[in-house]
Amino acid sequence: MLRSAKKLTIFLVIIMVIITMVLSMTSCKSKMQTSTGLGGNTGSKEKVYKVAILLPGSVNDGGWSASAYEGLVKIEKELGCKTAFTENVKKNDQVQIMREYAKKGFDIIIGHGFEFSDALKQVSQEYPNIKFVGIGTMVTGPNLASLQFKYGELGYLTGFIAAKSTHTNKIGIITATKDPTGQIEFDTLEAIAKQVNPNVAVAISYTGSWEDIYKAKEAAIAQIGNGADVIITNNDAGNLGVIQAAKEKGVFVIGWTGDYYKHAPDNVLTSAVQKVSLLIFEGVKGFLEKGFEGKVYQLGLKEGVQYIGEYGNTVLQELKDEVKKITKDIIEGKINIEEIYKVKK
Amino acid sequence: MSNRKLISFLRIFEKDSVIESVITPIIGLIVGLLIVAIIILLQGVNPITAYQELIFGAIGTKINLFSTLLKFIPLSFTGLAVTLAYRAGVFNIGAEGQLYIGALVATWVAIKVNLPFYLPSLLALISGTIVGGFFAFIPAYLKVEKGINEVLTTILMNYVGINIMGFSVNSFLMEKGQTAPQSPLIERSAHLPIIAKLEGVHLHIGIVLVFVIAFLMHDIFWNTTWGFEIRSVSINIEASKYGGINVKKVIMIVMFVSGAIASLAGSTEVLGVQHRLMENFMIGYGYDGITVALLGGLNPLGVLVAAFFLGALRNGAYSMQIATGIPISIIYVVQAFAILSIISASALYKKFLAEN
Repeated sequence: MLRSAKKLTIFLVIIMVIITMVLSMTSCKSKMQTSTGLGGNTGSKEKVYKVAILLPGSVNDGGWSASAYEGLVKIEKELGCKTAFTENVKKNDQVQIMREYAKKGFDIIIGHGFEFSDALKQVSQEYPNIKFVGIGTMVTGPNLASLQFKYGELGYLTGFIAAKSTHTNKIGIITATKDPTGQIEFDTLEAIAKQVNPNVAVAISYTGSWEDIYKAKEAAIAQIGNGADVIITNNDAGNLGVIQAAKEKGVFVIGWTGDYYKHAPDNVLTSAVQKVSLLIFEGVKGFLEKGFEGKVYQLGLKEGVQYIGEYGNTVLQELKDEVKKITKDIIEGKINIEEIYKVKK
Repeated sequence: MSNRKLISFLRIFEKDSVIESVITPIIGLIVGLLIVAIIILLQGVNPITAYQELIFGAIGTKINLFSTLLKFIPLSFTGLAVTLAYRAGVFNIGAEGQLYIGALVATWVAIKVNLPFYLPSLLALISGTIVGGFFAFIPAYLKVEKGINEVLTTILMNYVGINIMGFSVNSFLMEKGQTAPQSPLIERSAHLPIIAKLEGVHLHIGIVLVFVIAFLMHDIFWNTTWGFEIRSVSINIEASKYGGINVKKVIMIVMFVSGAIASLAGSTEVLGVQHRLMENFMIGYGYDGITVALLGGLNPLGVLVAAFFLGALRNGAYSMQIATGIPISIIYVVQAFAILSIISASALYKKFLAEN
């Protein structure tokens, strides 16, 4: 009798623990998910647009999906839209979730990532009055647009900085995979570096992984061994490995996507920052203000969604001013980047 | 071969009678939904509104019902695969890897083979099942010949399967001129035959296959000598050996077939619904098969019922999340409570029987 009573208590305690865990888990999640009020006051005349986004990961993944959520919050606050999102969307659920949003009267439905391409194409045909947007996709249609970072710009600027900073005339690039858009960046980079300093040689290493920090570090050490003293790293998590190697061997490094100044102020020259949250925000803002076209939108320096980040301690003011001027020229259209990478091809 | 404790624990889920196996998942899920209603209430949402949205999203319109059925198909395949293995006393935790491999092989064949009139899809399905079966055969062989526990090997084989598939869509199977790791679209001639069509939702022939396999399994288990042999292996290996059953052969064949059925979940999804392969094309359906099998009383017909309700929950959850803000993950809590309630109900029932 005593034993069974003990067992029962243990059982009850376990159940209580499970329930509290579940409760605390769901409560913090739904706090975020129900924070989809009407947002700012946009006046009674204007229509309140409803924007929904489908995320491949969770809103607190600290990366791709988290930055999209950041953009969505900005859309709600500053554009006064009503927003909603669904996180952790699996491939075979995409179409159904998009349909649900379409049926519930959303005006703009965003798929966050190339993996939404097929679903966007399919559902956009079923609902011709609703606007569909893909982030990082290439798909278009009468009511379907894609948002991308404008490529070439950051390659141009980083190539210029790298060529001005190298002493050994060897620049290294470390990235994960060989993909066409990345290739355009690096082609531009190489072309500009050679224009600035004809003796410069550029070498690329592919690590095959966006996450493997050690592999990226190994690749960096190999590049440094070959004499490279400026390394450009576009490797997501792997960037940290490259910066570590640069610190140990005392060479310069240029980061990509995030701003890496704080990780090594003496080694990081600067970073090519790309803000996914701003890309989405500026994209939607453009649709609301200038109207929607079914094409691939490329946003870049001009819209402020990508830019050169904080400079390291060793960068001279002179170089900073030059970069500033080039940035201005690119924005004003005085420099045609497309021509540069097309020639290289 | 030391899974006896696990088997004797799981026996609590076993339901041999059809009626019992059909009623259990329904009651379990109702209890789960009732408990979760309290959680929803604590979130400040009216559970009745939430569940109305859930039911409407799952079966409210014809399109929604079709989408539920499209989730029902892979869930039943993996559920049936787990059930079959369990009935022979082996645990197939590797349905996830098997369905990834099945989908990979099916896609590859469907893209390479150029034949008219549904022949490519048939060929793709068959090759997918053979390779998927072989993928499950490896742990079975290791179990009977080397005595390595299949729970461990099948779990580890999942990662092998998932990563081989990931490697393939990143290399030789990658669409030309694409940056994304995905296969090219499968030609129309290699799509599965469609049995019913609604705007945008196509119900493919896989649903017929599900029912055929389930009823066949049910018949074999309880009306044939094979079925008797399979079930006796799970109940007592030593007695089965003594009775002249080739235990090794039974386990190896059952695991092969189990892997083949699991692979159908992946290959029918690619050939019938998604029409191209990419990484993470269906996450977790292999593991969900275990939930489906347990809810369905480890009975092929119960599995169908459990798979339908879990598919409906999943499909309805989007509509509920969009309308009320209740996160989709709540349905996994429902599933967990359903299983817990079945355990406790069965235990109480047994106690009641023992006392009377």
